[in-house]
Amino acid sequence: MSRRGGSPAVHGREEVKGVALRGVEASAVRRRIHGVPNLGDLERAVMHRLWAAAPGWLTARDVQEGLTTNPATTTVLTVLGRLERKGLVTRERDGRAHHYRAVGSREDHVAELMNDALGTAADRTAALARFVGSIPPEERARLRDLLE
Amino acid sequence: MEVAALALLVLGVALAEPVSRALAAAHWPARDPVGALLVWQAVGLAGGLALVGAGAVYGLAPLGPDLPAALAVLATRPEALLTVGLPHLLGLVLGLGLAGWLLAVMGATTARTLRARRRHCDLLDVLATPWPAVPGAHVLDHAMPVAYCLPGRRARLVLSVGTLEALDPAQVVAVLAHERAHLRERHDLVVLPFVAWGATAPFVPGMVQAQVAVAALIEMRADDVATAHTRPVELACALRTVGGAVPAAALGSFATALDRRLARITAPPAPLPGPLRALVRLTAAALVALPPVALLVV
Repeated sequence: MSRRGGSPAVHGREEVKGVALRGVEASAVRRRIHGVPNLGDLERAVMHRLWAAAPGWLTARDVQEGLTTNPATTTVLTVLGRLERKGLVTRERDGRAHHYRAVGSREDHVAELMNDALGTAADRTAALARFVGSIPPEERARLRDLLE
Repeated sequence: MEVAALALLVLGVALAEPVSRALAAAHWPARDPVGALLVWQAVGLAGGLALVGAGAVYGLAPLGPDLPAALAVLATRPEALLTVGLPHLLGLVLGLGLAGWLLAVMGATTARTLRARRRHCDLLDVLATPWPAVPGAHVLDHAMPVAYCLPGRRARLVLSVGTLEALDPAQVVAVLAHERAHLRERHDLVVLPFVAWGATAPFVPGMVQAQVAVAALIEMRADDVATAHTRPVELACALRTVGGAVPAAALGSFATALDRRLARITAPPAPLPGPLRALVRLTAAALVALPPVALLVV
């Protein structure tokens, strides 16, 4: 089965279940297809590595050794720097070595995304547009009560 | 100039309350969502301009027969402002204060929205998997069905694994078409001022009704675009499935809004006839032109 062409929905749906469940492995598959490793894939892979090691601290070298794609150390450092700026990774200096750790667990972050997606976050903005429509502002509090 | 100030005040108050309430309760917007959205933008813009303008015009009335003349006096002799008297000075302060407040609220909401989007996008980058078959779409590994889009420079379409499991491919296409319409027509910018002012002035019923009405209208519009691409039954099924699974389904007002949308998709009302659609757009343009004409001419 070709991975491109055909009806995107039929195709995509079959494909996406596999992709979603296999996560990092699937990224490697896609890289083979498209030939170019991209920064997004690498960020995801680095976060998975840090989450797997949590609550322990890892050096850039530890992170690099855990990745199947063998990126250069400088690339791993760049990615760690980006993740640190985004507030997803924290860094501590121990002598000459820098140690990295994920800020919050994977589950915490998924919960945060789902809160936004379901309209249960306290935030009074229209940051995203939900398929089911927006929740009236005065109902947000009731909705949060229902969920607790 | 006092007459112009009074006319602007009446116009501003009328738009903020009785006109907004009537527009929110009207049935025709469901037959012409785009026209109705234009009228809402015009009502918001004209209402704000009229109220700010009323204060400014009344405040400067003693300085000249019309606003340009008064401003010319003010430009050559700024100290003339002190001679207008307390009531006029108060009007000026109120008008400028309202303008400052409206702009500050807009700015703060915009900043908060952009921050929330950036955070959401950063998390998506490490948690959601890009969907190669659908450019710009990402899949979130969660069993609960959700579908949404994140507008802006880094626009994203997001579906959860739960959605992909609950819907068949034609229904997924309908959901994607609906969300793409939101992104393409920048509905986030259409709702932004109403969200901003509705959130900070919940004591003005017109503003809250405007926010709810505009939110409903962008969904109607996106539904119309989606049903132009797919069969309405696919969109309705998808909406029933995804809508029924969210916690908000337990809320009365949310369920009512969902039922209205489903009814409109399955039995769409006849679109407004051409001449009426033209009239709606002309009305919107005339509304926006009204306050500047009153400010400069009267």
